[in-house]
Amino acid sequence: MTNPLDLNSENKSGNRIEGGIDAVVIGAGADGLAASAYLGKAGLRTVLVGAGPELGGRIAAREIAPGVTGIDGEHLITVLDPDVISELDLYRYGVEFAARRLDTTYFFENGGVLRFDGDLTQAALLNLDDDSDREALEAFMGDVLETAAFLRPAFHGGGYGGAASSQQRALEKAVNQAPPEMAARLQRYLFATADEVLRARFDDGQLRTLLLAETSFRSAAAPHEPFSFMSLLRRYAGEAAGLQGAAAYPKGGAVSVIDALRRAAQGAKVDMRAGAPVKSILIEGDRVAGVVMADGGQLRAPIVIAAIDAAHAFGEMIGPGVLDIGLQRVLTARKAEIASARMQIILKGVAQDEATRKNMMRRLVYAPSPEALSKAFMDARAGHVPERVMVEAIFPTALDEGAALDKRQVMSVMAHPLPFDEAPDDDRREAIRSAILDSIEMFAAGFSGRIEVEDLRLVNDDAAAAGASVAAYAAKPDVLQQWALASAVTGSPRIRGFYFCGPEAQIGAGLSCAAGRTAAKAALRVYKKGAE
Amino acid sequence: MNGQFDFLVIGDDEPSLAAAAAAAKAHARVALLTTGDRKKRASPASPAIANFVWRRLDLQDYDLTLEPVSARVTLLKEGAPVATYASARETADSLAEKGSPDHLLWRDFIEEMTVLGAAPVYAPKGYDKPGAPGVKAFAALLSDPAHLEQAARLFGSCAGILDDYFSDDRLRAHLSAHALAAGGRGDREAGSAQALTAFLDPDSWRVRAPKGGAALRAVLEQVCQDAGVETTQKKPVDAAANGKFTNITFDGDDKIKVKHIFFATPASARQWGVGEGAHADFTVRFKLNDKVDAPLGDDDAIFQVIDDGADIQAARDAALQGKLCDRMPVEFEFTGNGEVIARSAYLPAAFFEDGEWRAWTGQDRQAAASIIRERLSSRMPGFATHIRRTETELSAPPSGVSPFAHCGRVIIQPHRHNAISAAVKLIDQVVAGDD
Repeated sequence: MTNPLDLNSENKSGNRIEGGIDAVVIGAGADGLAASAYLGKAGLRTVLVGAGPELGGRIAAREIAPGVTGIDGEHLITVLDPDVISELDLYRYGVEFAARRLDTTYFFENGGVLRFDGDLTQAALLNLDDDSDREALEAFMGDVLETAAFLRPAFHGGGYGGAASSQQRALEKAVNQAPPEMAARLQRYLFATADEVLRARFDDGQLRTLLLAETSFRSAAAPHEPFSFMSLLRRYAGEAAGLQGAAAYPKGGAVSVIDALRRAAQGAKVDMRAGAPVKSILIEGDRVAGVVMADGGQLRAPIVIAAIDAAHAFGEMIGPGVLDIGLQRVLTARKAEIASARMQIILKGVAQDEATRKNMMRRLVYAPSPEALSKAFMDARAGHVPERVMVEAIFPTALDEGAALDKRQVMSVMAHPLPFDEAPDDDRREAIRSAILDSIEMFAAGFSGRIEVEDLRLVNDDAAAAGASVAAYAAKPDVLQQWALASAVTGSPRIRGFYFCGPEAQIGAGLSCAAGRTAAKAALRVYKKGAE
Repeated sequence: MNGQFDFLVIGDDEPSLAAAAAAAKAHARVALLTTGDRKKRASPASPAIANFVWRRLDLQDYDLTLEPVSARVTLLKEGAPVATYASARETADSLAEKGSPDHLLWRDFIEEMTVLGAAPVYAPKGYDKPGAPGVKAFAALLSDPAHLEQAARLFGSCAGILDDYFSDDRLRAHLSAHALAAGGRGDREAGSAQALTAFLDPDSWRVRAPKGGAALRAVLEQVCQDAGVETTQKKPVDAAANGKFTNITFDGDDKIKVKHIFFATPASARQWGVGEGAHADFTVRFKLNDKVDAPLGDDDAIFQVIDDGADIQAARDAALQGKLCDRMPVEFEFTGNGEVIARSAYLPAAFFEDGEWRAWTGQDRQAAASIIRERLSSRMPGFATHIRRTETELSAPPSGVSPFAHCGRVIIQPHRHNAISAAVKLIDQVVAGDD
């Protein structure tokens, strides 16, 4: 027992109050790093505090077997905000792509295979047997890429204090002045189910199957539910290595983006403190005044940006007393049902032939039939592990020369949809493991025999590593629900000087940093106005 | 029938007739396509008719009286039936009497659902309807967090809202069953909350003609005739877009040009193979030898049979997977002439077997009818012994390509509890948009 009156306790910063800080950013994940770099770059004295022993959050390098490093969290770059890359100079700070515009090979249940060019505008040039399919795909990709690009500002999220951000105003203006064709398209797509849109375009072929898979990958919205088509627009609004809708593999994996962000923050003179958990956010009157650290010290600052999950930020650090009812309802109404899982597999042997070697430099996707996909969603939602799941696999060791191993390969897999578990037991982990391996066997028969090590990573593992609540890493619901949540967490607290860019502020899955940028920019706008 | 029309309304249910009559009364040229095989038989209860529809159609000039159904009742597997009534007070009192902990919340709930349901509706009103207000509303939606929250709730799940208000499982199951059964939706899927708010709208309370009174359908047919709607029963074989018009060719070489093809309900669209085709409606008419005692002794009510709340999503999932679910929710009611009409919308549009989709067969109909009979027998012991004859009606997409598959100007009213008012409102909007 420690005596609260014992002034000689180990507590180093114990009741110390630190002033002269312009901004505190809580949470050292990608969005926290990006937000702090923006603030630091603008000349604000910024302190970044992370609870864990390391900076970086859920995207991190970890030894998955002796001498083999795996990357947790994300394995591809698909939606990284291009503004963040250019404004924070991430290429200068070390982001480099080992492979850009990865082609995708789709494998189907019936043994069919289809390859998509990494440049989706080229996808329509595919060697399809059926002319009408090719024309349909060309028209569809044109429509979808254009609509997705048009909606891009809407996927950045963030309302900030009720006053629409300039981005949102721009979007509103754009939508209001949309040419009739775009307006008609928006109207058709916004509330539609993916099933409906794709059925009308492609009947029953493989194209429908693969686009359904792309649409519902990493989303909790089943493809037969309203608004599910928006998930595809969200995905294709993203950019990787300068190409819309593409996927890229950075040298060193996704963690290299985190490293670059950290260097950018360092370059911007951000004071980064790992192992510094925050206990609460100080609020005085209607504005934020800083944070109270777990050890009792205080950092006083007029700007606080929370880049942690909403349950921690609002539920614990701010406290329900200050929140409006709308926000409380949004936070408590969420029920996570579906999650994705990661698996990193070390395989013995090397590719024997050129075709295999080429395939290993692509993104491989197993796309279950529309029926199997619907069933997988229903099973997962009912809390069962589906028999077959979608799988996205890449081979970092083949894509990235620097990661190559001797006579072994690392296969990185993301699987979806799986039931969401706060604390899965061993049976559940085993069931998920075999569902993933079975699904991979569907397109790589016999591969199980070559497994040397496998490393299954569920959302609760990610959450434990990042010190976040597990629900924050569940798959996100349909885009409309995400907009509502993002707008509630970024807009309704109405606490001056407080901004939020945790996982709930991001629309869609993937490493984006758009929320961090949006929060920092909103803070800077207000800060500059105050300084004038 | 030949010539040029503003609308071809397809369907012979009450919403289609009302929409056709309303458009004709607004001086649109309207053709009405009915199947014509509808025999003279008792109709199930229909949605209420809002005041504005009475006025639009001058229904006061016709000999029409309608009576509200007495109650909405759910027969769960265990425990007493759960009932709600048209009057919020009566419902709250009845809940209190049954010891439901939620009786105090009922009136607040109804009030809040009315507010939520009255929120501007952002969903597009029809398919491919140019210039509809969806896009502007969307822009406004994105810039206002309060609107967004409301829209997200309205387009969220029914279970989400009910969990938020009520602790009584039986009441939640009852409300989900009645709100969702008609559209065949699941209570945990996105968008089902809207069906709940619509169900609680007073205009959604169902009505039927009193014994010996004129049937609503017959009156609406008369209104259509008086308003100059041209009716045909010929089968359309082809529809081709032609500028602002669609050329429709019927069996026997009749040809018309229409601006809009209008379906007032998803069921009538489904029969022609257009619109949402994820599930089928199945109706069974049980002609009885003698009188069967209605549950609660109330043969004016509308009954739902479910075992418990989990049945609803399970049955929806089964239908989407192309399977019959033997726990499917079944709605039934007694008609004046000794019939029980039972229906369920939780049937697959087609069956998925051995990796293939196949159409309905006679055996499937029998299997579905027998599940429904079993469900009713389980709540009314000995019911099966009173059955003299069974007739089935299926509304599933036909096999083959729809004649309307490739023409753009098809408007389909999504499922609505207040289907008549909604159809009239929708066709009015289209008429106004044409001017």
